[in-house]
Amino acid sequence: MRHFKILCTALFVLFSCSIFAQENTEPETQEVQQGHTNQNKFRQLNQVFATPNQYRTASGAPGPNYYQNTADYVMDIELNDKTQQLFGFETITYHNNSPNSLNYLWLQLDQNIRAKDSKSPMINGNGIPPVTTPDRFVSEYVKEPFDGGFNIEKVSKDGEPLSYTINQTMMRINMEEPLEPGESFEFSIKWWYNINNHVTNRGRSGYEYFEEDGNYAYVIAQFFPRMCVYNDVEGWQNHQFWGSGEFALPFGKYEVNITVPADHILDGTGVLQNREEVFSDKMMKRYEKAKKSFDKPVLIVTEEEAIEAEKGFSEEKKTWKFKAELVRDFAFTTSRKYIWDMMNVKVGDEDVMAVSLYAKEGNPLWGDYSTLAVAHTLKTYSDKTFVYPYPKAISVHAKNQGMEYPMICWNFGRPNEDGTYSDRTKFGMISVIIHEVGHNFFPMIVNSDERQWGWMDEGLNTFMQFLSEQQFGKKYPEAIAPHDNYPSRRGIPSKIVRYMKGDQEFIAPIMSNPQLVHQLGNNAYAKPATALNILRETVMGEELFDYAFKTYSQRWMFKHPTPEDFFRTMEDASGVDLDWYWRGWFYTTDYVDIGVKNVKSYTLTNNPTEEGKKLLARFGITDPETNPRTKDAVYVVEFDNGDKSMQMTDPLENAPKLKTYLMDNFSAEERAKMDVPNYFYEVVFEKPGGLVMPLIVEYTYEDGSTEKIKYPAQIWRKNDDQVSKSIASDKKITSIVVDPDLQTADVNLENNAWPKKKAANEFEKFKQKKNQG
Amino acid sequence: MKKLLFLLLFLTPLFSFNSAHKFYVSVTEIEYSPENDALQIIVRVFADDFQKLLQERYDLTIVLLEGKEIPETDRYIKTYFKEKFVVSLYGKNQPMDFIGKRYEKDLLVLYFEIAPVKEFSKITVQNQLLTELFDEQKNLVHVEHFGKTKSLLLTKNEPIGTINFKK
Repeated sequence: MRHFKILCTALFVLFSCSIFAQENTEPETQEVQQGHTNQNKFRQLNQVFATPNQYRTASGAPGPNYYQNTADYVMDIELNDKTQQLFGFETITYHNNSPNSLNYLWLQLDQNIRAKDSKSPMINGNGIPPVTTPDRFVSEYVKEPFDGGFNIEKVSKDGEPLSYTINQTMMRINMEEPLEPGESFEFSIKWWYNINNHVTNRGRSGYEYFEEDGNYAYVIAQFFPRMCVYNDVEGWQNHQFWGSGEFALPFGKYEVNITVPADHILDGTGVLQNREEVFSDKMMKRYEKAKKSFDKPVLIVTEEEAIEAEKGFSEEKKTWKFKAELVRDFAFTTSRKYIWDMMNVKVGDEDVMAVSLYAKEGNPLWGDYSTLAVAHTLKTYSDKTFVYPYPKAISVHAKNQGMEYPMICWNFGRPNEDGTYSDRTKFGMISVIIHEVGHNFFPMIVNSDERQWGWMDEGLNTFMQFLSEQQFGKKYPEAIAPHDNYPSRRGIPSKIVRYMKGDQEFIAPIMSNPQLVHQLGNNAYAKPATALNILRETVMGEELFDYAFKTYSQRWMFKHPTPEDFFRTMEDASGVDLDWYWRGWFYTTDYVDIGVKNVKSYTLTNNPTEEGKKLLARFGITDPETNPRTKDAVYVVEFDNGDKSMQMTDPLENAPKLKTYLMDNFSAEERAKMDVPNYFYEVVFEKPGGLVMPLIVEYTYEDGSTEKIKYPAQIWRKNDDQVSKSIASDKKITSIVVDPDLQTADVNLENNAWPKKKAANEFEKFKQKKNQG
Repeated sequence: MKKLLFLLLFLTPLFSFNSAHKFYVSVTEIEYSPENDALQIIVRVFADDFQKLLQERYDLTIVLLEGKEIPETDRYIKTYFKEKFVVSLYGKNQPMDFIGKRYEKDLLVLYFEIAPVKEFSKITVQNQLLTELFDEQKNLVHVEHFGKTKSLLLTKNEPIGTINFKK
């Protein structure tokens, strides 16, 4: 048997050499060649990545000198529900844990994007429409602009005014003395602003007005001057808030007292400190019951009670007091319209409260699904990352919204006025809840810089959302019937094809700032989510991926990771070199297009072939038939060579010397166990697309059986355009298909099959179906 | 100048993006089929946006859900496309046949055909779909001809684009 193996090896050496020889028969009319830099797609990313240092290591973990500054806030907030104004007095204690002296501090004034003189809207190019409707004209040209933005009344330290400079959406505190490493600085800001209508003006925070009962529902966020992040990679994060790039925030402790009308229902980031003061006895009892309910939510405020509350307007005030630790932000919601439900979720060994607040306009949908979706998200995400570390997670119903803050998020999904709702509304609502609650993990806890890298939280979170949605479908099959799988919008490879094959002018690498791209939904959400899904399913395998992803999550929990920290950790913890994958999918706009170029079948012969002779001549053998070293050589010849005497089905008949060799060297018993393949093929695969991917091939044999082989991506390491594979088989191959299960987001299926199949034209398929009725 | 700035401020939607918020986008694929002498057009829009548009524009009872449509739905769609989606070849607007539509998760997929059509070197597309409802609406148009795909990104303020093709 050993001999036979050697023989076969020799045989295939000849075979592959002959192909090598073919490739070198190009006409030699080339001009003098120029040199080139290393463009190999498998070269490492060292020249692109920052050099590892004491803060961030080459393994992707925080280094021994990693630091982050923190900001603690004590705030008194008051809402005027009659004028829709918000007033605040905050005291910030900023801790400089960096090794550097800070000559000034930077704060973010995100509300200023709505100021009358805001420059943010001016960065979009536009023209003047030639014709418009009267009301549109009035609203666009005539009406007084909304008077938003912070009114900063006082910035002080120990009662003394501090010098400060406002630069659009940022404010600099001009320090008299630098803040030295290890020191803290405590100062206060008094402010107020007009709250915007988030339904008509859009925006991540604001109020919705309900004409029918005259009430407002507030979802309030980025509502106070917040510290910018200072760190080892950016210094002060100094990107203005232009609208698309979200937030970069340091962690800290919060103590927030919020005063609202006494008939409001309010919840926000953190643990409520004075529950007995603000809850009625009835609510307290229900709350105690909710703490023990693990399977379904318990109503703290019922729909009937909410409808009753809508009719009043209390002149009394109530103050709700919250404390939160290890959070990067604070947000709250308040309205007298709210229905409120809660249930307990066991996450690991922890009890977490899953909470929903919604006006009656959200029912019946919200009562049925919101809190369940929150609970499901906490469990599924915790499973893949770390145990959810906060005591609660709230989902608030706000029209058209989908926005996340620590422990609280706003979500869309409103039934029709008659209480009916479509599948689209239902799945839209469940998906957005999973997504926004999921943001607690990325970026609220794994605190990447959203303003620089939208994909780091949106992409990772959309990927996790896809996994969580699919699990939701398995857990609640009755909720997704008649679908077999949850109808996820993003994550499935074939869904990204339309984007990736698009005009290059309108697409950008994932590694782009959110403000600079044309299609942010595809760029920061769908493409990275799909890239990670493909990486998990098709490149690394679930086990290696999941371990590495969990490692990343836990390493950077409550810290500020950069893209490189993610890329490096995924490789470091899995033992899989992924530089080629990051380079292709994240740093370029290349796409996948892999196909079968041609297929040749071969058989064996003892008659020296021209190519065989040429090859042997290179080794000085010019008389192969008589030379003792090669007189028994077996040659490979293309089957369709016109020599009718050859029998494709029995190579031993074609190469009798191989037969006699076997008989001379092996016993009858040994020979019986041997399997001499009947068919030899050379398949040339081509790769017109720039992305490197594993080559997934399905071979179908004459008897209908199939075999799927996944050649590692490294198959392209020496030739990025095409690669040949020799195949020895007992059975005749009838078809070869590349990526048969659409796992790679291949943008062109026309070249994926041998023999060629015309990819069905979507248009004609539809038209045909239509015509058949 | 001051006035112009003032105008610009109001022409632009203030905030165009929320975290999992909707992106107002449609995607149109136009392909020339030499076998059929036809221009095959597939338009994908978000069904909820398009439903809202048809409701506000024509009839509040319109529902874009499989099995729940009112009988006039296709008529409204044809009327709307006639006004807001125009393809010109050889310097002339081309009448489009509405082939049909289907639902694909949260999308509505619409099929149109322009026939007979010969090879062309220039195509002009005017696409104002949904722009009267959403200021931020972006309409992407991909055109495939002679094996090449070229694209336009059309918006409320720039609703018309032309692509030149060479054989």
